[in-house]
Amino acid sequence: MNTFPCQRIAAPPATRREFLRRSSFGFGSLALTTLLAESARAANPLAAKDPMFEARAKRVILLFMEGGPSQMDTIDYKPELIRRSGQPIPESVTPKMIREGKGEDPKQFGSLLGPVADFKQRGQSGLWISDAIPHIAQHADDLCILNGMTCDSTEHGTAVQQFHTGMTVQPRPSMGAWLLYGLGTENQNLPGFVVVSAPAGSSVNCGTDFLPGIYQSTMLRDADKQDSEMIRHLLDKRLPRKVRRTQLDFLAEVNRAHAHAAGNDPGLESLIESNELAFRMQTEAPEVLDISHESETTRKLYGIGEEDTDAFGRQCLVARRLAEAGVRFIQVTSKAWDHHGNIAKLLPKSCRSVDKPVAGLLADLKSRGLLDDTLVIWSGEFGRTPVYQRVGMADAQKMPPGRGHNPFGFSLWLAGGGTRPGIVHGRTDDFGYSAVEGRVHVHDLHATILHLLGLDHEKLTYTHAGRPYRLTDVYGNVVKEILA
Amino acid sequence: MKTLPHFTLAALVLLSSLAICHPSLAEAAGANDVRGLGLFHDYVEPMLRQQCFKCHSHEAQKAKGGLVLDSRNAMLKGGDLSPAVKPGDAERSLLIEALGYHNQDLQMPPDGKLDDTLIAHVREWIELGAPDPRLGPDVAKGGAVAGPERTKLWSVQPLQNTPPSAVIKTDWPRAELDRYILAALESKGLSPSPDAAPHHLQRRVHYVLTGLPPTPDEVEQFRRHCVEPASNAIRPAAFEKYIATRLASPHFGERWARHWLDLARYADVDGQDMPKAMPEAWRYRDYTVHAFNTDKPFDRFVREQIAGDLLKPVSPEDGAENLVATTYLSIGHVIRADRDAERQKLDGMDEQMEVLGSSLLGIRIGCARCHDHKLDPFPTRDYYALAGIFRSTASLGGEATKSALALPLVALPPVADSAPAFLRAGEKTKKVKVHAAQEMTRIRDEPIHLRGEVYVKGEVVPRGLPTLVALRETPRLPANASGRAELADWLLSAENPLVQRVIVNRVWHHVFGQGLVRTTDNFGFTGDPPSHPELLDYLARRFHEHHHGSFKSFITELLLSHAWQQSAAAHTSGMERDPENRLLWRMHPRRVEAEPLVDAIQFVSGRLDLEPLIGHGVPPFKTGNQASTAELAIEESVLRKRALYWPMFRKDVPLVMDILGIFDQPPATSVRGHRATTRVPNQSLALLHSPFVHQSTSALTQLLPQADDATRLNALYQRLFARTPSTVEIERAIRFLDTFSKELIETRTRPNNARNVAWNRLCHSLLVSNEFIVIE
Repeated sequence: MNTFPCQRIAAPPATRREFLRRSSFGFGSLALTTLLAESARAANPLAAKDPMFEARAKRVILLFMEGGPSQMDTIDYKPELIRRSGQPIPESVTPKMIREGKGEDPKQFGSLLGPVADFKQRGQSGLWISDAIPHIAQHADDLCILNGMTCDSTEHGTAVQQFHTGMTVQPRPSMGAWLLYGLGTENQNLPGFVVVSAPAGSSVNCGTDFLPGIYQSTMLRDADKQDSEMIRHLLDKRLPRKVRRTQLDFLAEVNRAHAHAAGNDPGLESLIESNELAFRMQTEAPEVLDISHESETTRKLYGIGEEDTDAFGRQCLVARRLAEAGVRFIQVTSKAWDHHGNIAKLLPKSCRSVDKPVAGLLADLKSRGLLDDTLVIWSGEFGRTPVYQRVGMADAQKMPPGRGHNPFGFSLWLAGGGTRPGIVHGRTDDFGYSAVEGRVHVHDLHATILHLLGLDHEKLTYTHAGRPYRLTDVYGNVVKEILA
Repeated sequence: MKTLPHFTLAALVLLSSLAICHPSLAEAAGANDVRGLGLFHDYVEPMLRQQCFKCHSHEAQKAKGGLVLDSRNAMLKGGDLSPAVKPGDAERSLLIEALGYHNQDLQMPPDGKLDDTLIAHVREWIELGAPDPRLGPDVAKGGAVAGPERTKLWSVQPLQNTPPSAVIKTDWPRAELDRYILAALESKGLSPSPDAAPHHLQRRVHYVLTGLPPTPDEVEQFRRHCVEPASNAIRPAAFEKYIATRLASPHFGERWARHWLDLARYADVDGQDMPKAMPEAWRYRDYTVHAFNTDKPFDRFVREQIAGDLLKPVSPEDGAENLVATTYLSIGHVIRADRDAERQKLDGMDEQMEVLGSSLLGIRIGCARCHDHKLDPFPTRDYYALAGIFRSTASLGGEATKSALALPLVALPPVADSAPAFLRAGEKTKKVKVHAAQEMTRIRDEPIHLRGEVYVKGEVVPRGLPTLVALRETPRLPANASGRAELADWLLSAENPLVQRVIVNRVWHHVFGQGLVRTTDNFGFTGDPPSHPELLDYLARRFHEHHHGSFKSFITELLLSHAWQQSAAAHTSGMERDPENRLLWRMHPRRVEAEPLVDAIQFVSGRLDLEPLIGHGVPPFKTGNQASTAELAIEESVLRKRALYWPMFRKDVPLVMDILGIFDQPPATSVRGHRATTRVPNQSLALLHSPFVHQSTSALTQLLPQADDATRLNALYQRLFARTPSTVEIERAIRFLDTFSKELIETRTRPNNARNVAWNRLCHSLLVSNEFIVIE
C-alpha cells in the first residue's frame, strides 16, 4: 500500500561529507560549517556520543510479543468484563471502525469474554496482574504498566512496522537504528544493534531504510538453540586465532601498500578498518554470545533446560550478556501471540514460554545493577478485543473462541531505565476495548524511549530526499507521568 | 483484517508537507492535533461524508442553507446561519447544536439523531481545535496552492548548445567531452591526473562493460596489442578495438541489464508480504539483456516497455518481444495484506507512475497523489491525468484485474525456434503467457482523489500528459485508447529534455562511478545540481543526435575520452580542493557492486558457469504471514551462474545468497539507480569466512600451476589483478607463506600440508584484498 508517497526514493549518502550534511543532532547547520572538525565523528559513525541531555537509560532491551498479546488476560484488570462475561457488549463500546466493518469482520465477534486467568494484586504497589504470568507478576514493583496504548492499524504487518519504525506503511528506519545514529555504541568490538530473534519483515522492521547502512541491525540466528552460529560468518573455526591473525596482518599489509599506491584514498582506509572491526568482533562476540559459562543457577533462573522455556530463556540470557557488553539496542521476539482461537488454552501456553525467562532477565539485570540504566520493554504490536472472536474454521462452532485484533486500546509494560516503577498509567474503558485515559500512542512511546536515552525526539533528525525526518515523524509527546 | 484509517495517512502526508515549508507549523502539531486529526479521520470525516455531503457539499445540487461541509474553510465560514464549527468551542458550534437534536428547528441529520458516542467524538474534535486537513476541492483543481514554478527548475529547461570554454592544456582533450571537463578543472586551478596504469585501465574496461575481470589470456592480449612496451602508453586504435570486442560479448548485456533492472524494481516474486513467485518475470529480465546486447536504441527500448502491446509487430517474434517488454509495468511490488481492492489498484497505478517518474523523468511524481507537489512542478491534476492512462491499462493495478494481486496473463504468439529463449515455450509448456500490459476494454478517466484518499473523489481529470514539459505539439490522447502510445511519444520527444538528461546521466554514472548529477533518480528541486551542466546537455544531444540512442556507441565515446582514462589515485591538492572529485580531477575508485563482486570471485576461481539461465531459479516456497524464505535452498547450478540469474526476492532473501544484500544489492521495491556503498564489518566477515568465498578460494588455489612460489604468484597476480607482482610483493608473499606454515606446524594445525594451507590462505587474502574488490 503506497498511500504515503512522500517518503520515497532512498538515495543513500554517497560519502561521509554527504552523511554529515544530512546529519543533525540539533547541531544541524553546525555540522556543515565545522566539517573538518566533525570528520572524526563521521570517520567512525559508531563511536559513542554524548546524549543531548542527561540520559536515564543507556540501552534498550525490547521483548517483542509479536501477534498481539491480550491485555485483559494479563495486565489490564477489568472487573466489569469478568462480571459481564458471556453477555453482549454494549453497542457504544465497540469502536466505530469495527462496527462499520472497517476492521476485522464484525460478524466474527460475539459476546464479552472474561479473562482466561485470575487476577491478583501484587507486591507493595498492588498492581493487578493475572496468573498467566506469575513470575513476571513477582516483579510488579519494578513494572511501569501502560494501559492506554493505541496504534493505527488492526493488521499485523502494518502495526508491527509502526511499532518498530513509527510508520504503518512506507519503510522507515527502525528505532534501534535511530538510537545507534543518535548515540553510537559503547563497545566497538560488537555491533550496536543486535536482534536476538527477529520479527516478521525484519529487513524493514530492524532496518535502516534511509539512514546509513552502518546502523543496520546484526541479526542473530538460532539464538534459541544450543551451539548455533549466531552471527553469520563470524568464525573461522578451521584455524587457530594466532594464524588467523597472521593472515589478517598479511592482508592489512597488502591493503596498506595498495592504499599507499592509490594516494591513501580514505575509502580504502575505511575498508581496512572494517576488516579490523570484523576481527575484533570475532574475539568478543563468541564470548558474549556463549551462555555456556553462565552458572547453573543463572541458567535455571531463565528457565533454560525446561521444555517450555528453554528457547526464550536462551535468548533472554543472550540479551542480558549483550546489554552487559554495551550493546545499545537489543531485541528479542516471541511469536505466538495471535490468539484468534482457543485463547483459553493457547494464551497461557504462550505466557508460559516467556514468563520465567522474562522474570529471570529482570531479576538478573537487577542483581547486576543493570536495570537502572537498561530500559526493558514488553509489548506486542497491539492488543486484543474484550469480545470473543471465531474465525476461519470450517467447524467454527467446535473451535473454542479467541479474541480479535485491538489497536484501540492495549497494554505494555516497561521496567528500569528511568521509568517509574510499580505504577499503572492510562486506562481503557470498563471492558478494555478502547483507551480512554492516559492514551499513549506508539509515537508517544517512541518519543519517551528517546527521552529516556537522552535524546529529544524532535531534534534527532536526518535529512533525506530534501527534508528532515524523525522517528516520530511530526507526532509524539514524551509521557512525563511515567518518568521516575 | 482490513487495514484501518487509510485517511490517517493522508493526514500524515499533509503534515509532512507542511513540515517542509513551515517547520514551525509542524512543531505546533502537538498531541491535540494528533488526537484531533485521528478523531477527524476516524469519525468526523466519515460522518460528514455519509450523513451530510448529500445536501451540504460542493457536489450537492444546491447546498442547503448555503452550507457546504466538504472543505475546512467552507465549514468555518458556515452557511446562512453562523459558522458550523467554531474551533475550540463546541457549545457555540452549530454542528453540535444540530447533531444534539435539542433545538427543534435545527436537527441534523434530518432522519434521526446519531449515536451519542459519535457526537461526543465530534464534540471532542471541535474542542481540540477542529484540526482538518482538507483544503477543499478548489485546491485539487490546481488553483489555490501554486507549486514551484516550472521555469525555475533547471532540468526541464530546453537542452542548451554551449560550446566548452577555451582550455590552456590544449593537448589533453581527446574527445569533445574532455574540453568541458578540462575547462572546469582549469577554472578551479586543478589539472587532470596522469593516465591510469594499463592494468587498471583494463580492469576498468572489463568492470564497466561486462562485469567480469579479464582472463590471463586477455591480460596477455591487452599487453601485446594495446600497450606501447616502452612508454606504457595506450594505443588508441587497438584500445578502441579491444572495447568493441567487449561490447560484442553477450556479457555486456548481462552487466547493463542489471543496471536497468535496478530501475525496473525487477524481482522474481511479487509481494513484499506473503510473496508468490512470478514464474514468467525472467522473460523480462532476459528481454533487457537481449536489448542491450542487440543495442536496441533507447527510444525503442522505452517505447516497447511502456506501449509494446500497441506497436505494430513486423513478425511474430517482434510482437512477442514487444509484449514481454511491457512486463515492466507489472513487476512492481504489491502489499497482500491490504484487502481493499480499490486501494490496491490505486496503489498499483501509483507504483507504476512512481517507477516511471523516478526512472525516466527523475521526478518523484508520487508526491502529487495527495497534494500538488511541494518540491517539484507536478500538480495533483497532472498526477490524475496520468493515472487515467494506467487505470485504462490492464497491468499492475489496472481495471481488468479483480485486484492488483491478480495480474493478467497474456499469451505470446508462437515464435520460430530460432527466436531468443525468452520468447519461446519450454519443453513441457506449449503456450507462453507473460504479465504483459493490455488495453482495457473500458477506457476511463480518473477523478482526483482528495488528499490521496481512496474514496474521497473530486473532479474527474481527462487523461493527459504532464505539464512538466510542454511540447510544441502535445500529443492528443485518443478517446478509445489508454494513451500509453502518446505517453511514450511525449517521453521520447526530442523536446523532452528531462528524459534525455536523465538517461545520459545514468550511463555516465555507471561508466564514471558518479553521475554529473549525483542524485541519478532525482532531477527535481531537491536533487543535486549538475557538476557540468553544459556537458550534460552536450551529452544529451549527442546521445540522441549522433548516437541515435545507441548505448554501445555512446559508451564507447565515454571510454575513449581522456577523462575516463585518468588514474584513480588520490593526491593532496585534489583532495584539498575537490575532495568529492566533482570536477573529475581523477577517476573515481569504486568498490565493485554486489553482482560483479560475486561473479568475479567465482570467475577467477573457474567456478562461474557463463551460460545464461533459461527460466528462473526460484524453488517452490511457502508463503504466508509468518513464512520466511530465508532458509530456502537455491540450486547449486543456479548459484554458479552470474548473479544476474540468481532469483530476486523482495525480502527474506535466502541466506545462501546473503552476500548480495551484504554488499548493498538494493531491495527490489523502488527505483534505485544509485546503489549504496556501505562499509560494514558484515562485509568483511562475509569475505573472510563465508563458505562461498572459501569454496572459491580452494578452487582458485587448485588452478595455480604446480611450480615454484614465484611462478605461482605470477599466475595468481595475473588472474586477480591483471598484472605481475613486484619483487617486494613476491618477497612479502613468500615471507607470509613461511611464517604461516611455520605457525601451522607449531600449533599442530594440519602440519602435514601446512604449505598447501598457507597457499590457500595467501590466495584467500589476495582474493578479498582491496585491489581485487576496488576498481581503480
